[in-house]
Amino acid sequence: MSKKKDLQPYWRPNVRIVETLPDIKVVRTDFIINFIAVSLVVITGVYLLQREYRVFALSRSISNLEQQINVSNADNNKNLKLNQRFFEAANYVLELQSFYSAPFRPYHLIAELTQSKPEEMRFTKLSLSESVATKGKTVSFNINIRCEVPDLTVLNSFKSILAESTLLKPEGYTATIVESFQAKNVQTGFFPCSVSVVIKPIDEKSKKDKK
Amino acid sequence: MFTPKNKGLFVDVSEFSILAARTSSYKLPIVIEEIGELPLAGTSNEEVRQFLEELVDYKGATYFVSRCGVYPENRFVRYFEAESVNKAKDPQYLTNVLESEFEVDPANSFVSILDARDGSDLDFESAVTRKIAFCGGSNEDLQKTQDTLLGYGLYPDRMELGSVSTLGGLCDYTRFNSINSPILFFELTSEAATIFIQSKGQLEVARPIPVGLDSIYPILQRELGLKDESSARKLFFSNTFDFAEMGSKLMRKVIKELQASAGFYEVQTGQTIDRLFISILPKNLSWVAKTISDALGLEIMQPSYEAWLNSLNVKVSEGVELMNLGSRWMGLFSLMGEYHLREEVTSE
Amino acid sequence: MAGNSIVDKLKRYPLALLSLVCWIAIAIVIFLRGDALGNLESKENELSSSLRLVEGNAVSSKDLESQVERLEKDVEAIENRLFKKERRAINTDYLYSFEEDHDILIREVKLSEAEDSNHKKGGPNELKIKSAIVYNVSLTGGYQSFMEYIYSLYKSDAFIRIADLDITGTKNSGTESSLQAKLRILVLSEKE
Repeated sequence: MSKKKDLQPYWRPNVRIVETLPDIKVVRTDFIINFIAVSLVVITGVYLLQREYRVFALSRSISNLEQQINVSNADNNKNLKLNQRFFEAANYVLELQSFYSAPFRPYHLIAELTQSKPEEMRFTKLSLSESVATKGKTVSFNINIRCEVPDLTVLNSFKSILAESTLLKPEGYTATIVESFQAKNVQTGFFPCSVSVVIKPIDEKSKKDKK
Repeated sequence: MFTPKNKGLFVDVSEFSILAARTSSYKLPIVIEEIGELPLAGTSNEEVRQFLEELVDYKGATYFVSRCGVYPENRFVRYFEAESVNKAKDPQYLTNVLESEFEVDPANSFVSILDARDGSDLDFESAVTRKIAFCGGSNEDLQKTQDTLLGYGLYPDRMELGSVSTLGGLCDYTRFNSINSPILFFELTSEAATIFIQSKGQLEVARPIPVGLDSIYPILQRELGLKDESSARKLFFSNTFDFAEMGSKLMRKVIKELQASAGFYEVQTGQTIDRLFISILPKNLSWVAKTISDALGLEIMQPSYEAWLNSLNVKVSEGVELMNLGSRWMGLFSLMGEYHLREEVTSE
Repeated sequence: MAGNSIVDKLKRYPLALLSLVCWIAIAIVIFLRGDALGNLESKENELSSSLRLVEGNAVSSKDLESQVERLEKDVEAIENRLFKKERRAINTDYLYSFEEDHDILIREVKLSEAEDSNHKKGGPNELKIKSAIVYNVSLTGGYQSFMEYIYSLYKSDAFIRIADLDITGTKNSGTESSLQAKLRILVLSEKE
């Protein structure tokens, strides 16, 4: 009365009565099923408790924080106003800084030039001007000196003095010195000459490129 | 996947003794690692368990999963030849046959219907045989037997009728050894006896005879003038008395039945039975086989197990000696054979 | 049939069944609670970062009040020293007044309408809240007096600086040479 799929070995029908056999495997299955079920509940329960505890802790922490923020809000508003006042006032100072932005004072420059010139040299004209380069928003300073020298070596030595001068090369600036001279004035015996100095801010970009 | 660490335990439990074998596992191929025998005579469950624990490690468990051959009192194996293949496929017809011819109550019994030619389960849809073997036992009896096994600490992974598995073993043995002449297989126990005749691995006769060992004790009592049957029984099983002379007297009824069946078979088929196979009976009753074989003029079969088992993928480890084990061990070893595998091989 | 067998199986594992019920209950609670935790976490983060900000403000505002007061006093002083554009005469007069302290002759002080390109809107040193008034000044005087004059321009109450300068010397031999100078000066003033 059995079919092929539950084929018995030939000549060997199994006559045991399964229903009344002690279920030795089920004892283990029972344990495993219960163990898994209980573990699942315990794990999920612990997870839930942990979450709820965290919710509780967070709620407490939030109300604490809110209280603290409430308390400090008045102070904070005062601080913010102070801060605003500070920046407004500081702008005045910054404005003054912008106004006096030149790297040197003209009286220092004139004093430096007149004091460093060789004794044999005579200045006939001295001019100082600012020029604004719209591209790059920079300000350069041009110094033009017209002078007379008895000897061209004097002009050279003046030029090298200027090249050494720290005042002409403030930090962040570079100075270009160009001199020229004319034929000797027979009447005075001096060579009319001119020296021009251009003090330019160092181009940050080109500086970087060089590096 | 898993290599089974659990050993196999095969047990043949008859009323006389317990034969047991520990194997490497249940899944073929297996190796018989140890065998043992415990004669049963008022033996307690604890003693049986002790015997089994010497064979296998229970690892503290209550039961050891085992494969058992059993001989319940009301077991039955009946051969039936239907008039047609179609009738043999009709469950209702077969049920009627069981009830009317073999007095088996299908409602309260476990019944297995086998193809008598090879022992396979009868498939009602595709069966093409008229030769059928009914086997089984009453539910009550099987339950009692199963409870006995559990009492020994044996958890039956399989519980098989020893009579049928022995028959199967014998049939397969016959095929393996190409024995072409029919064999008379006689199973004798206290309350029942069955005559089987198998030829070339096919069952051709299975018939109960209304005698058992119990019916011999009154004769013995009378012959020897003993005061009661129980002392006759004691004497019968003791090793002290030589029954060789008295054997034919004691077994007269049995021999008559056997002669009748064998004669009928031989006349019907024209084949001559020349071998006798007797299962179960313990060593001290070896005179029974001798008496019958002398009376019927048959040769007693002494199976040589090792080669046969080898062919069934059952190896025998070195320390185990099967050489001198008699035919009563067939019941145990036949529990290990998967004969359908051999069928497939030979049919290809 | 199938339903019954499931019920039968469940009946075999009462503990597992109880666990299953508990588990479902817990799962429902977790589901219903939904994202409460996430919301609270983000709210807490938000609040603690604003508290940190407030605390940071408090730390950086330490002594700020006195600094602001000092600075505002300075600002007030600066305000007082600025030229008021509309007071043209007073402004010009102020620039002439340097003559009194130095041995120089201020020939002309002329208000220029041209904006200084350095400080105008978009210039390199743009003035945002004030503006620069441009004056062209021409004068004569000795070298020493001239130097003192330009020094005093920078030290005066008004915020004055020289943008361009042109000096020509005459050739008076013997005595101190006399200089003619043209200056373009810038004076910080209130924005119009």
